[in-house]
Amino acid sequence: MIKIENLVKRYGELVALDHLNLEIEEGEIFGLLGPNGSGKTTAISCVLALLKYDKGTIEVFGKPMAPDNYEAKKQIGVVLQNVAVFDEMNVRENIDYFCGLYVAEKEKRKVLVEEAISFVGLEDYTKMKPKQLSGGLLRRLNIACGIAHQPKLIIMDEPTVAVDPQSRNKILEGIMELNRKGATIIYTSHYMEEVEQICSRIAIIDHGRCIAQGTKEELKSMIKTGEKITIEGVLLDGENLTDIRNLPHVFEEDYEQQLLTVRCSGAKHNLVRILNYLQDKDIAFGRVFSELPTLNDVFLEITGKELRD
Amino acid sequence: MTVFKGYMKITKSLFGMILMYMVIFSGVTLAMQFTAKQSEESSYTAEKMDVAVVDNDGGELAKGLISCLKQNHNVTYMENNEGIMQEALYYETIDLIVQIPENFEKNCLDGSEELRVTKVPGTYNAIYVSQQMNTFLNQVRTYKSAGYTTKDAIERSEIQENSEVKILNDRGNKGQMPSYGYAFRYMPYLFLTALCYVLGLILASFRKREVKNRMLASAVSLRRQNGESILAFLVVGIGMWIFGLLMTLAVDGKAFAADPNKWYYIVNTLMLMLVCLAIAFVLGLLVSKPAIVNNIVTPLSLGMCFLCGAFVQMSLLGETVLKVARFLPVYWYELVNEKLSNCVTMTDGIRSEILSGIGVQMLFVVALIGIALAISRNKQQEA
Repeated sequence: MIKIENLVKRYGELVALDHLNLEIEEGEIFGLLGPNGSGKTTAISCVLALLKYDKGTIEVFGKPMAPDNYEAKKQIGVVLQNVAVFDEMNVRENIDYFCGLYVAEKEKRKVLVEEAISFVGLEDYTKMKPKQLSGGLLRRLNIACGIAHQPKLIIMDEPTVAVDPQSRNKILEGIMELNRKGATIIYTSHYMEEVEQICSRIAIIDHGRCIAQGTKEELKSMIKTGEKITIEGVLLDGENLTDIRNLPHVFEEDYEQQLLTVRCSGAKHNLVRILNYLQDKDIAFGRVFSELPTLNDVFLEITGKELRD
Repeated sequence: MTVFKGYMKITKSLFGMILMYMVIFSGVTLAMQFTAKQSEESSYTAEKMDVAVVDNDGGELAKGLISCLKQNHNVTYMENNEGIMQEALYYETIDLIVQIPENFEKNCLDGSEELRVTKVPGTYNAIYVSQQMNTFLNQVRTYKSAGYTTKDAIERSEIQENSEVKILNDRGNKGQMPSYGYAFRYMPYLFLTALCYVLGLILASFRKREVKNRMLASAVSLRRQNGESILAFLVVGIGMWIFGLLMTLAVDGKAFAADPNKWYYIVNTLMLMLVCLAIAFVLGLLVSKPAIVNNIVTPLSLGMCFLCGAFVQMSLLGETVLKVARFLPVYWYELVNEKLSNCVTMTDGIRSEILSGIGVQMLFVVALIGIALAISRNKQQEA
């Protein structure tokens, strides 16, 4: 559905996109994950032909994307990072206006607007002006304005920024619902949990380059860490630590102030093996945690820095 | 026509503000028209002066002179007492004293003695009384030298009819600015404030980066969006223009309809409206925050109106101010307006000046559109 090849965008000396390559298939929720300033919004703007780029090609629905490719634009819905609505119009008027940029027939539009209002749950607020809405409701209005015309492709640029958890869950559920109805979605975020939760494929971007791409399982399998086990309140000596390090699949251990952290590769029963060892040696211990790797771990291992640095 | 409808919806939401400017404009126009009407009524009223006569002669010519004075002034007799005369002048119970000397007929007609006229210091009106008396005496002298008797000469001098003055009043405004002229004079204030403010705010809404991007990403072409925006601008502008003309008709529709120059007025205001639209467009391109629109429009509209003769008559403005004002479009509008208001008969010279004024406004429109296009292109390149 979208094919980006060797995309380069420069702002003077700053390289915002550095030979970016992406391919997005129909029917998927494709996540663009990266820290702030990594080039996600620039990439989205180039796909929408809002920005001129220096090099590379972008194809949407099999045709090169250009500012005058209105056939493609008709089938794209946009939910931008900042709320893009008119303060002077009420909720229904705003949705109707932006839907009207795609659907000329009044009757058809009326139905679509009502559906969009119901989809984002703004039925009780239709006559309110944007300034009267809370942050979460405003985000929902922003989404409704972008999806009311029921596009095939929806591009969402950080739609949950500064939204309360309740509204965030509602928005994420809505995105998955849109996908179930057949829309392909490109979802950019710097919240890895969200991307992990809803995206079928993910591209991790840093400094304008795609550093990893695939399903979340594929991405996690790219790194060494499979499981991180933390045991609190445990008293160990050097011999114990050597024994633990020699257990199968353990590749790193750290012991400090009675806190043991063990990193294992992605095999099963790592926790059982460690706990059995402690039991055999009659070593007491406190709370035990087992964490599977996150996308942050993937990012950390590839770039050497946290996703939110 | 979604974009056009969007403009109209936002215009509707700002209707309260538009109404406020309309009320201000109507109020100022009506108040000025009312004031002007009152001052018109008090114009050209002949005044009678309080003249005291000390008749030391009592002869036929003296009586004739007094009779002549009575035709135009309030005449009272006064005894020949210097103290009383000084007191009357000091307290200004009279405007002047005419002292007719003894042997008036003999001495005054041969020019050996003159009438003594004493007036309140610092007043100039007595000159006209002296002129009237001199005219009368000269006529008597002329008739006498032609062989008339004193009595006949006085009678003939007295029956001289006042020469008839016909005031050219083709447009019913007694040589003053027609009442609807005030509506035209203040129209720049209405157009500048209402159009620049309302359209500035609307454009600021449409130029919010996010809204602009969402619209650029939409299926409506940029050309169509621009076309519909221009159409919306014109509709709002023409609406305001029609309101301005209706206001003029409300002030004195009959007189305006009878004015042979009414089409020049209409074209001039149309051109002003286009100038104001172009200013509003440039402003909207430069400013994207509503608060700043207000901060710019108020000094812009008031400044132009004061500098260019909308609030203060051009004849009262200094030469330097007028020199500066020439660089502003409202000056040319007001210039045309003033020519039209003062013109009784349209000569080729006046027509040429009026058309030049309208032409200069048109150049301003073209220049402002050019600036707008340059800004627009520059902003696009920023991306």
